[in-house]
Amino acid sequence: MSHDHDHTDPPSDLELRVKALESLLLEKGLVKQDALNAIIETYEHQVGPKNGVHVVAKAWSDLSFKQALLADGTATVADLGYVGRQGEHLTVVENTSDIHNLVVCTLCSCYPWTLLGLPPVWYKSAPYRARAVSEPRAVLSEFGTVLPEHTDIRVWDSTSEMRYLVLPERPFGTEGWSESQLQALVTRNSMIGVELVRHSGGGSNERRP
Amino acid sequence: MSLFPDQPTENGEPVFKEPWEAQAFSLVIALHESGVFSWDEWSDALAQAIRRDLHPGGVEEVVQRVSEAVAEDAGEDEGEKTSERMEAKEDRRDSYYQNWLAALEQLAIAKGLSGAGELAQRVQAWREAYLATPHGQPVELVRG
Repeated sequence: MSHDHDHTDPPSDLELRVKALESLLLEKGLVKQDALNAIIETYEHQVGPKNGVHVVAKAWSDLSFKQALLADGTATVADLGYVGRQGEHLTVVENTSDIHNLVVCTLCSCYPWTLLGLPPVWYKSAPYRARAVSEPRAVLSEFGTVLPEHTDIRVWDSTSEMRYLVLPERPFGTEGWSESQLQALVTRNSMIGVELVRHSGGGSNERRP
Repeated sequence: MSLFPDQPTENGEPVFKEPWEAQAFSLVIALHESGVFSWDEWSDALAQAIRRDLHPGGVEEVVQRVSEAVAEDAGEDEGEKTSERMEAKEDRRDSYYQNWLAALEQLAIAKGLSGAGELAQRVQAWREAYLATPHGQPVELVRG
């Protein structure tokens, strides 16, 4: 695909109108960024990551779906009806015992929201955007995710054209589980890559040497 | 909790199809919380915006919507009719926050929070900021 690198495509008129109003109200001190963040935080789960949960549990259950997903994320999730309004592309990156993937948008807050809903406020924060790249291990440990030293951590920087979804490792002890049982384990944070998927039944999916 | 009639909800909580919808939602809540307008004023503004959106289609469209709603309640669930109704429902979901945004703009202008011209200029300024920003760099407003 060819890009004109001299400009950035503007978003829809509706988005521009909201941005215009928001930026004016913030400048005039009529609303505060903190207050807006707090409201969004209350509702961010209500868009919900359920589309992403569906994709991950299906990939765990269906090998040919998983292969298609990793080969062409955009087309494969489009087959399930999940299409980004702005025509953005999706790359799905798979966690394994040796590789852990982490998603960030260093510039702003690009996020695979057709799959994951509204981005959490911390995802949009300056510290996360900077530190996910400079010290991913420290960021992960703050989310309670401590990885073995040999794990290769890969950080994916989203853009307006390319969004990333982490395919977490399927936890041990879930052999024979149905797709809907698996869905119950998948969390939003695991699909951003800040957490692992665990299940309480048989310990965790942490690997022990 | 559904704060307003017809607000898209799931399990009783507001849902948003796109981030801008949540942004527009949060602006209204924040302005109300800081006392800029009352719920009654907001409800009136929103109702007006919805009426303006409905009226171009005239009375017939209103009648159609009502009959759809009745059919939904009656639970007639079969084939094409269902999918038509689902599309109509999707349209209403799409237009809900479009009306919401229009109401917010109107109320912001009526309350003197922003001039209409100022708002239009700002939309254009954002558009130009995108167009002037090299691909892959953060988009920021250039202030004159």
